[in-house]
Amino acid sequence: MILININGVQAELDSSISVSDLLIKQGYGDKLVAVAVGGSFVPKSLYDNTIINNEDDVEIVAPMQGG
Amino acid sequence: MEDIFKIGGEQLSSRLFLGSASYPSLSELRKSIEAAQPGLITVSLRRESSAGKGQEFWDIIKGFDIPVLPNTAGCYNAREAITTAEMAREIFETNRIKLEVIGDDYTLQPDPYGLLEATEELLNKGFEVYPYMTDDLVLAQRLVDLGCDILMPWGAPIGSGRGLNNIYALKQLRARFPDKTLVIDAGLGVPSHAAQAMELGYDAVLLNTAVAKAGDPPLMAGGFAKGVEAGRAAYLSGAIARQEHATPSTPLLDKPFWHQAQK
Repeated sequence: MILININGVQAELDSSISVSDLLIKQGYGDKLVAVAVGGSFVPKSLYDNTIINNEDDVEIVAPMQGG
Repeated sequence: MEDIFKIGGEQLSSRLFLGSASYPSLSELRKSIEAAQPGLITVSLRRESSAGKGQEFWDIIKGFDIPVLPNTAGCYNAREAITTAEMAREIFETNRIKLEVIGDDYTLQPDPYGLLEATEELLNKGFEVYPYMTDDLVLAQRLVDLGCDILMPWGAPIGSGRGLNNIYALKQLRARFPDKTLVIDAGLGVPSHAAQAMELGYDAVLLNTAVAKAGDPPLMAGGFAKGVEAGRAAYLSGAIARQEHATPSTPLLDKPFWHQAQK
């Protein structure tokens, strides 16, 4: 079991997981989002090969209003 | 007189850049964009829940076919800003980034050191950086030295509605960087502030709160569009010099009773 933070909220997973699988598992599906792990940007092309491990911080962001 | 406005190699339809935040509703945002017809619309990123409520907003913005300028609002150091910019580039499919690195909570004054650090790295990564900065001349020079073609000094703190706080400094920037694109970003309250910025020779203005928090946002948006146009026309047309005495506008030669009273 691993504990990670997704957008500042703790989540419990069975084991380490790829970004691709995490997005599907968490219900983001094909939503327009971008991802950072441990404060570093993860481009879409690397979702399959980027593994999220215990205590990782994951940021998942989407478009919003801005000034 | 043709007045083509190009920024980063792209021709924009207006010198007014409009923010998309803080409107009373998405409907008011849509109407305000329609009224302003801005050249760029600023957008941002937020943490997304799997419920995903941000899609409606983005669908509205996409419907306008106006280029977007993503920002790094809320970032307090270079690393956060760089990561945010990279995420924004992927989502919004643009190299443009309005780079905000905030250094002070009370005034939201940008941190010049973090700004320079982030600017250097983002330029190296191929971004077109729109740096939100103070009106400091030396900071501007350092940004230009790094390769910035665009500078965005504040008029006043974000959301303050104070207008142009330091006309002298803003004039200096215009005079010292005649070939750079200068945009007043933040602090404007009313259309006359935008007109004043354009009269100084600034290439564009960027504003959000003045429209979004107005009693009637679409009406104010239209007012700002006219203010920008009026100020630009004044700059291009060549204003008269100020003087301390009156000069009659009506020719006096052969006017009836001319100087008769003095006899």
